[in-house]
Amino acid sequence: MKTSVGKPLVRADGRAKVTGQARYSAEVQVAGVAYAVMVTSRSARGRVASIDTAAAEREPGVLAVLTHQNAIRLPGGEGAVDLSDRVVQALQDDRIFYSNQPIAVVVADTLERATHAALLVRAREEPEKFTVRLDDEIDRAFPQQTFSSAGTFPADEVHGDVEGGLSRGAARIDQTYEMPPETHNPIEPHATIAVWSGPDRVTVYDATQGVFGVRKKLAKAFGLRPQNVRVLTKFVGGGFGCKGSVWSHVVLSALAAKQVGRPVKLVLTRQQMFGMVGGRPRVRQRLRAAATQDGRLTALSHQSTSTTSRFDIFLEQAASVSRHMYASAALETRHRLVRLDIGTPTYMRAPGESSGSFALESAMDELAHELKMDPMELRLRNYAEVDPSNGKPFSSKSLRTCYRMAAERFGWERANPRRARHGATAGWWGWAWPPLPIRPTSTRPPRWRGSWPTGAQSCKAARSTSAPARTP
Amino acid sequence: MRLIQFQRASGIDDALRAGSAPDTAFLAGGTSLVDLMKLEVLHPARVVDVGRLALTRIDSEGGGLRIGALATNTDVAQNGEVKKKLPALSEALLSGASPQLRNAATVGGNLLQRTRCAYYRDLATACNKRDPGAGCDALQGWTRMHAILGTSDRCIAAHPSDMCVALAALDATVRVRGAAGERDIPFAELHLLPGEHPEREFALAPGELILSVFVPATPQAARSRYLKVRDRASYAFALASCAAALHVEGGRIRAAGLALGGVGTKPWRVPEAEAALVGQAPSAEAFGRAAEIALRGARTRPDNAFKVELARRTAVRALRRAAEAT
Repeated sequence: MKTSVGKPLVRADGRAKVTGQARYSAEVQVAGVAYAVMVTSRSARGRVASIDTAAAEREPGVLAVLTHQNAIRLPGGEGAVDLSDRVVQALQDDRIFYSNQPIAVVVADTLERATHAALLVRAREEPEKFTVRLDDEIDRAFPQQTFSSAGTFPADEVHGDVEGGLSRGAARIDQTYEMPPETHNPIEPHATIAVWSGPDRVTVYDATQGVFGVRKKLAKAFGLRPQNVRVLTKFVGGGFGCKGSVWSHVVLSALAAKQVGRPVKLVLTRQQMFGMVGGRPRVRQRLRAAATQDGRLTALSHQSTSTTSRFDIFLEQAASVSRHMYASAALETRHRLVRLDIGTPTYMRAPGESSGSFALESAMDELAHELKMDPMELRLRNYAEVDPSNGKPFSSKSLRTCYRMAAERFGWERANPRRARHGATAGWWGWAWPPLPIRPTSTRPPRWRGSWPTGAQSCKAARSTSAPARTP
Repeated sequence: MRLIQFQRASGIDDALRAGSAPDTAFLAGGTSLVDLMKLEVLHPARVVDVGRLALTRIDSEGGGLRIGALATNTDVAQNGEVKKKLPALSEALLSGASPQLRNAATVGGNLLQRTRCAYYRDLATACNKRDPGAGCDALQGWTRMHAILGTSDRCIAAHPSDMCVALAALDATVRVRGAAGERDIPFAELHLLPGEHPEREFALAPGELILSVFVPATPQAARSRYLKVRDRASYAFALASCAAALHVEGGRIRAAGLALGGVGTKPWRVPEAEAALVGQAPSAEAFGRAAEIALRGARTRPDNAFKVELARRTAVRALRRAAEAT
């Protein structure tokens, strides 16, 4: 059988990208386009008490200075369409929820004029007491159900006697793993060009990983029929999850274009990439695990706490990996959220899986160390033959083969497991698994196969996507 | 729109004439000025481009090297005489920025490099250096990258240049020309401490143009080293750095140069620390004592308290490397 696995491939869009021929969303040439520049909040919480736009409006070339006082009202509002969609801030009221939130948009005939006029907008903010530290709000942490393309699942899953299992083990660990927030900042910043071709019909060229999400969002916000919203993305200059959601600037560019009666281009400045377009939240994970002398897990507990905004929910579902990874006599996973005065976090490179795997696999390494056991052996002894979360068989699983092949290629038998912890000088030996190589979909209909039209752009996708698109 | 007058100087005299107008900035490589103008941190009314003046030579002169103000960082770092006679200068230059930036940045511009204090660069925050009397948000802010030496209650911004740390340790002088003629400024006097007026950064009169830097080619300079410690292996500013130059003869240190970077509001050279080395055998104890003298008076904040020990160790290691250099 012919196979393409392991063979080199010429990237379909490689030449276009390295020669500058690839056209990114903000580079699409639209006749009569005007340029929008956002003014953002300085406070982390409060309200816009007053905003003086006179000086900006006097500048030559300025078409409009939009604020909460004069922006058109969105018939569908700023709220989320569904669980995967974000609440946005589109000048509908005077509230400030986070630092760097859009509070005004200047539209002018050139980017330079818009940029300068934006500096002349004088907003008086009435700050309120804010908190941006997880520790300050930890007492108000609340459970949050998990949600993925596979469905929604409870915040907490408990199987068996966890506390009993922890005390029964011959060796145990209790560790907390802290991860700071991680900020997205791909080379291509977020950018949108909005072109209305009638009062109820809009085309947007958007830097997005999901054209259907953009269509859905704009249709709701502006009260349009989804088929009247056309979204085009030819190339994405780095996504990694940050362009998986529809953020405030997308709605604002359509709003500004509607209000000034011209196509409008809005590109975030590098500084504006911090706050309004998400990033991986801070995650604190407590891992408790115990095992018998021969390495059988008697209990595994994984509790994850991450941050979200005051006005929206995003959960870094880090404990989910532990629901499916290892067989344990008792298994507990819990997700908690803490609300802070920050922009809503978002998907970032294996959201939940990478952060969760880091904690889980670190804990397994530490437990192996306590047991004086080869860390790989510990994994093999707790190999999950069925999904530990529900006892159902996996549709497929070849992790044991992966272990064996990796061990052969790395020369694992030569490794001293102690080096995994202190290996800086002796060469590094350690374990890391592909994050969650399994999905709890064993009994679900085969929606992952065949022609499911997602319209999704991956991180560096070669394909163009656009909506509306036909379901094959 | 904020319009600026832009003029390209045809010669030094032309540059001085144009530079004498109020609110004028000289533009060389542009790697700092253009950035800061885009951020609206600096907004000169006039910009005089001196980048094409014939000030790029690197010449031997009376027991040292004279480096033109418009020699690029790359030119200087890769110059054979510099590598041989002033290795710390080459190492310092190569430890900074990226190849693209080093190809554009000039020695004269680097002497006047502005701080990378995040509060200085962000118009949304208060900064006495950017806006005299406005206050300083860094004092209550995130200070990992801030200075612990030479600070005042108005400003704790760290000096960012690597090159200047080496030039301080190597006892350079800076030649400038202005309306009052030409003069040489000892390196230690070029940068001002923030004190009450953090907006005053350089001992230059308005309109004075830097022509060149002279670095004496001493025995210790030929065995000088630059060590930089930072959060990333490249393209990051120093948490702590040290330029060390030692002349060892007969088992004793005959002459020493020592300056610290990443910790001071200006390139931090302490003559007492150098004096403490002279006459000593090169040893961990002697190096440690000198480092402690250099760090005397450090005032730390929770985010940068680690810098005292980090800088001490950096200095000790740089001195050891200089002593081992052949």
